[in-house]
Amino acid sequence: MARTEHITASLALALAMTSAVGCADETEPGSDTEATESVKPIGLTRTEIASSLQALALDTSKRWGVEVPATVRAVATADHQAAESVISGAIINDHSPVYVVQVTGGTFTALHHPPNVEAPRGTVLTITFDAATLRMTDVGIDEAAPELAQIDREVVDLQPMQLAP
Amino acid sequence: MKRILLIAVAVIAPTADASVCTHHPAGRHWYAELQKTYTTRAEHGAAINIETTTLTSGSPVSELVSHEMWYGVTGGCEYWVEVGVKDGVAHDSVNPVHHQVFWADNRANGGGYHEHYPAVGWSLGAYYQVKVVWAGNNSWNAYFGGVFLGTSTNNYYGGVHRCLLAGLEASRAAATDHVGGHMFGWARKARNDVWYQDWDGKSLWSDCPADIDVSSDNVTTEVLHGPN
Repeated sequence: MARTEHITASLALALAMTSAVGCADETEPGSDTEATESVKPIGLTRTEIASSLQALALDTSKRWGVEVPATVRAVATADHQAAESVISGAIINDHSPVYVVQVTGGTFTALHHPPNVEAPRGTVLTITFDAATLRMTDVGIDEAAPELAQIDREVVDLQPMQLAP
Repeated sequence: MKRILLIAVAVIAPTADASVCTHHPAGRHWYAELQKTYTTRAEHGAAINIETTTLTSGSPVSELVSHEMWYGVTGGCEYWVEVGVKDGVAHDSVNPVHHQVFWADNRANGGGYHEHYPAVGWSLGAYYQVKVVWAGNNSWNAYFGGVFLGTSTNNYYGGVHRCLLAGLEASRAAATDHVGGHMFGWARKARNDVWYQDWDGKSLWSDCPADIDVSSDNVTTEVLHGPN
């Protein structure tokens, strides 16, 4: 017989069971601190940032199954949320400046998945990095490449640096 | 004396249900999961309280462990939204990022598979509710500990079948890979938008050496190489 207790009962029980419960009042979509007007980062014009992004992208590409990709392209944007709406369609509560790097040239395979379900695969790997820290904030694979130019008109080709001495 | 011994055993092992871990087939990840497939009655979401006590990938650059819930938007779990915590999401080969809150979705019709790592803090040894809930317009909202993480859009394909899973996953099961934790308060949200505090008829499933048990007071213990 199914019990019809509301989910809040479980939260109350959680409070009773542990002294450290990490559940505060629920935040809602759109309640992000909008804010501070962010600006497009300029790192793609700086060799050390571009090199770091390239290295991070190639490392991720390798772990997702493609050791030597054909293309590595990047854009910079002032708004993480706007970038994700193009890349993954996801709505997220973050408007920080980010770099988006897109890798193609093989079949990428997701690193985890539910049991008894094939790991998702795709031919385009897209990685988003926080501009301030270069922390990876998002990563995904698709069959059709999300259009980077929709995020920013200045699409930078990072691949040639791989060949540099 | 024999009676005292039996009582002692009952106190030590209050397990109501235990999975019988199965031999792990080659090429597959390791899981210890609470699972339930609904043909109806979970159309609008699912939630569970997760406490992670141990979460360590022995090789975080290339391997991962996670403790999480999947909400399959189809009965076969082909497409889903997932929320949890993960170790082994490498930032780069020099500075692996540990203990990340994440959510992800896998979508049909060219929607792709996408993981998101919001800057949300959490701690080992504390319970957090992970939740996926219908947001209308073919979308689902993902929460961790009451914090909105994001919305998975264009991820509904009709139908009322849902696949609910929660527990641990490991891309390998080396002695240096550790996951431990507990779950309770599993809930589902039906089409009438009422939360029901059950995954009635749920089952347990695990790949050795991963394991999961549920106690008589409906708290699970899942573990891979402990401690938990």
